Amino acid sequence: MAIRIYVDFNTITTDPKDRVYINTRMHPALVQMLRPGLSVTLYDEEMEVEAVVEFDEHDQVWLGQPDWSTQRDLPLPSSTDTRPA
Amino acid sequence: MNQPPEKEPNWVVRGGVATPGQLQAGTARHRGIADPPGLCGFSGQYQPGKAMHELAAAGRFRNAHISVTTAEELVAAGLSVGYAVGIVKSPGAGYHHTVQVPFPLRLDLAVALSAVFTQRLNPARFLGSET
Repeated sequence: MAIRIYVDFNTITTDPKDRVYINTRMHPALVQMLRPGLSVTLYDEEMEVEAVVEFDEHDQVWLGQPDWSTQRDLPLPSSTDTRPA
Repeated sequence: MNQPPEKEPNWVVRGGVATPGQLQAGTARHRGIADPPGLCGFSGQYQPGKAMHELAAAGRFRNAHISVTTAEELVAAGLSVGYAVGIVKSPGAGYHHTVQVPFPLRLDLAVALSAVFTQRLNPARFLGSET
């Protein structure tokens, strides 16, 4: 079963390859588990997606390359205000 | 007599639900940026004068919801718990800016910043892969 990693999908906007930043400062235990090529599930409060782990040697950070064909919506907490924009 | 056009608030827009944990997960040292060195923070779409839906579209967010606040509210929220929060233009998609915060983002600041975001349906949900 793939490791589930909580992420901020907004971090895609800073990556030229649309990869998601994996915050190992927030989850130090991940450092022992991550390796390039590992299949994981990235998720936030309302969606999840399968991804393959990469390591950026230049910036020394772990990233996930999502397979967007696997994106799934998750139930949103009921307290969320969903007024139209 | 015509009324002057209403000025857009200085929106800051993010994809998804800006919970404290979400802001902490997204806070990092910005990669590939030389000036200012060591810019740390989380991403947001920001451009004074742009409407909320324009910023949402520019971010190409895949989330069903967006989280919205204003630059003024973010700065005030930071000050309320003793931190100077800045909004700095930085490389990235659309009108990308970095909301500059200490890294790692402390929980008290994350809670204060999260509290000034409200969630709305994403008016421009990105579903495709077009460039």
